[in-house]
Amino acid sequence: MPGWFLHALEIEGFRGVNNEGAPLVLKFKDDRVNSISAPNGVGKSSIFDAVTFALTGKIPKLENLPTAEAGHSYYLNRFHQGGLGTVKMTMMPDDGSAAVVVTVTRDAAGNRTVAATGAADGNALLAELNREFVLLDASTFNSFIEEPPLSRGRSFAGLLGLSRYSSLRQGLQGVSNTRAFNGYFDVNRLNGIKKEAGQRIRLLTTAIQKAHEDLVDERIADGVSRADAQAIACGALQGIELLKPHTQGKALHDISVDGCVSAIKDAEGGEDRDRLETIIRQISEWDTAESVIPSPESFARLTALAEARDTALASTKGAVFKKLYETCEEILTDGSWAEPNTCPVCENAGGVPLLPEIQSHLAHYEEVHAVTLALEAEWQQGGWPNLATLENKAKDAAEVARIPAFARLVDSTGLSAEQLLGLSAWIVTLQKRAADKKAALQSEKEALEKKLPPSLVTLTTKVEAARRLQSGWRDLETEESREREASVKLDRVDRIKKFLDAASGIFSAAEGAASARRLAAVEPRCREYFGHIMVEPIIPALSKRGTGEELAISLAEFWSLQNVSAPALLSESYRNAFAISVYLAAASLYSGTPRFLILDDVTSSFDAGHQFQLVELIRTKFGRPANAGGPQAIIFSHDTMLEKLFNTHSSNGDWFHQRIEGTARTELLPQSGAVNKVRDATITMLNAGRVQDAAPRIRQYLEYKLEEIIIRCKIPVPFDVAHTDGKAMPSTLIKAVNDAVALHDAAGTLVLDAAQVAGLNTSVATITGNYLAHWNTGQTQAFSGGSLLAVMHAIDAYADCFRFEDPAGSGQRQYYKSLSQKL
Amino acid sequence: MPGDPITYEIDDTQSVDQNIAIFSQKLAEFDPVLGPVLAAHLSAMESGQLTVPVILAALEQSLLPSVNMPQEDV
Repeated sequence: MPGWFLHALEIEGFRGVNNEGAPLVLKFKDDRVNSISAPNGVGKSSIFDAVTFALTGKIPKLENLPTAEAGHSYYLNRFHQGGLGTVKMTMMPDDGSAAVVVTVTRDAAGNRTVAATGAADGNALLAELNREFVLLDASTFNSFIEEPPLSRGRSFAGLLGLSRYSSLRQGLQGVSNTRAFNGYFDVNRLNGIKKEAGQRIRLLTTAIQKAHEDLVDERIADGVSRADAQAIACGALQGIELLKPHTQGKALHDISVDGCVSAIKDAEGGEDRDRLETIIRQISEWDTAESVIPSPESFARLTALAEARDTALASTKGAVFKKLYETCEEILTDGSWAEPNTCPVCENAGGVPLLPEIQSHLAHYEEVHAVTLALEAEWQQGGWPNLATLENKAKDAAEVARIPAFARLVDSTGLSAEQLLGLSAWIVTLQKRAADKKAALQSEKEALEKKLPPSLVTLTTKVEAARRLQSGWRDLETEESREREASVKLDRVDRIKKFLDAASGIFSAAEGAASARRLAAVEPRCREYFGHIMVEPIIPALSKRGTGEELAISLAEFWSLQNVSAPALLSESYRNAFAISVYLAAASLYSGTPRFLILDDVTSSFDAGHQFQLVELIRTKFGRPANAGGPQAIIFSHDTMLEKLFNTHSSNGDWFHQRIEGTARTELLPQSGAVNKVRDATITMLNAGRVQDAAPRIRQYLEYKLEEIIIRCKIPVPFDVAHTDGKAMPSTLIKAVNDAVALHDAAGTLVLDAAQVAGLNTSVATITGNYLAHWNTGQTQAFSGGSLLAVMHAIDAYADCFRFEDPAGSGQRQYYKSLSQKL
Repeated sequence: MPGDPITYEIDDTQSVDQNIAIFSQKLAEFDPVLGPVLAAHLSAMESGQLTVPVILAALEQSLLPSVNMPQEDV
């Protein structure tokens, strides 16, 4: 993509530019330094805002207003009837191809449209032009000094042409962020499932071993396969003669245990047989329920986490405050709030930046969240949800189950240490009940065994062991499947995490290295520029640590001191000089697509000497044409002294200066080359009866014509004319002209003929009596359309007194070379 | 599976797009499965148009058996 110069700007209905039906048109030259002067309140910042909106889609100072101020409703000019703001930027490529006009509009509803001529993609071009150094004003420079190193570093990445790399770096960091990553993949839950399933597998393996031993009278030997173990158990059952009708030709899982129990019951008969079988099963069930009680170590870990959570929670102020802090942090870090020491809620300013305090509050909430997650993980991994099995068996029917309630607390808000104590007491109660119940069952079992034949008692034990084996092997497969599934997913997630960490780390290192390289190139030029603006022995310094994003600023030298704080020592003007030097140095080296920049009133904090030095830096070193490969500089200023300097440079061929006049209510017009428009529009207004709108334009037209006479006829003016009050300027200039005419007349060198001298007096009488006498005193109610039309004609007649027909009879008139020389 | 660690540097003589394209290639060399998936999202990630879940979902999807395991002959 080529570099782009700003060739022209056309604005209507936007901010302070009404210009309904006659847009403000500003032309710029890409081979000159461009400047625009205007008194305060005329519209320079509106022009700056218009370009800002075109490039970025918003105007930060409006967006940052309190909601009640309805900043969004001030994009459009309030006096414009069309309800549409239009900004046209004519961009000239530096490769000689055709210019592109990008038109950006905003309607009253806030909708934005972008269109471009030819095949150009307007949005893409505007995005390319939206670089950090293109639109510079005092607040940009102030932010650069004041903002935290991380924000400054990210802005600086843009200055170095690394903004896309910086965005990608942040994107990669965001996607590999451990907390967001684990949250998305639910890593804690997966780990919990895996651990819980593993624990269940261990319990089931023990239970299977025990049941196998009860049935076969020996343990499952090491190395025996699962199928063989089940075959051995099945063979043991099949070897029992009484049970053969139910076991022959069947695998272990196909044998009906209930059928076997019935066979025993048929052989023995009686309720005692049934009761013994039930008791054996119930004792086994109690054993299983008790086996899932979590370990004391897990309880100790839960207690420590609950206490840590209680401590962290005590440092927070509830959910509403959390939301407030998060919103504040967002406002303070997204670039929309320009006052780091001022609270965006109450707008009170403190002495220190607010962000660290807000982040300190949020850190307490982060800690609560982290501990709550760890507590939840321990709850799952310690097997605490399994307690529900024991509770269901041990609680009375009328009692409310407590374990699910504890589980819900863990899932939602977390457990307090006090609640854990309650849980502990409840487990002791459940254990006591289980022990009592088992003792009673055991006692009853022993009594029954004494009554029943021993062989059938043993047989019942074996059949019940077979039942436990059937369910045990089945449950083991289920848990192994759960564990396998969680493991596969965790392996997949782990691979993604390692990949993202590597990608993010590699790119961050590369971006950091590129940034360091470019910083090393910018710093010497920054120092050179700073030295041009500020001649004192102060040397600015820029530094980054490693490949990090933070950019630190300091002073390598401050008179006799070395390596001292820049924000702490520098006054406002020096801070501005520091920031301007950084921005201009970066723009001169890494401007890329935009080859223009606009500086809006950036000299306000400078005295006249430093203003001059800055202008000289731009004119002789930084901008075009002195630096042919450099940017096209466009300077906005209200300063009358600077305007004199601009005018002086304009005559040297390396500068193009324009002055704008007008009001936000009617329209702005550049004086340069637009005088006829001013005259025509003024006369049209007067004919239409718009006297109040026309009055300020008459002064604009009068000033222009007087200055034209003075310049063309080389009439001297007082040295301090630039400091003359705006309203008195025309009178001052008329007096200067009249004095010069009188002087030449007295000396007998006046080139004006008698009729022209007489005409001067007549015109001045009309101009002064009908206009200046009232304008200078603010009594504009005295104006009438007819009298002001006479003033417009008098202005033209007055100017005509200084011209003559050349060649004679041609009708073409030109100014005298001076008051004493015709040609 | 991931290969050997890669080295990458931004080349100041190349455009941003060219540099990002080179980074994409490096990612693919590092992990032939995940690399191309992340590379396809770099542009949108750089312009802030993608949310983290979209990228993570795409990466996970690329590792699911139905996508990358060889299909059995029928």
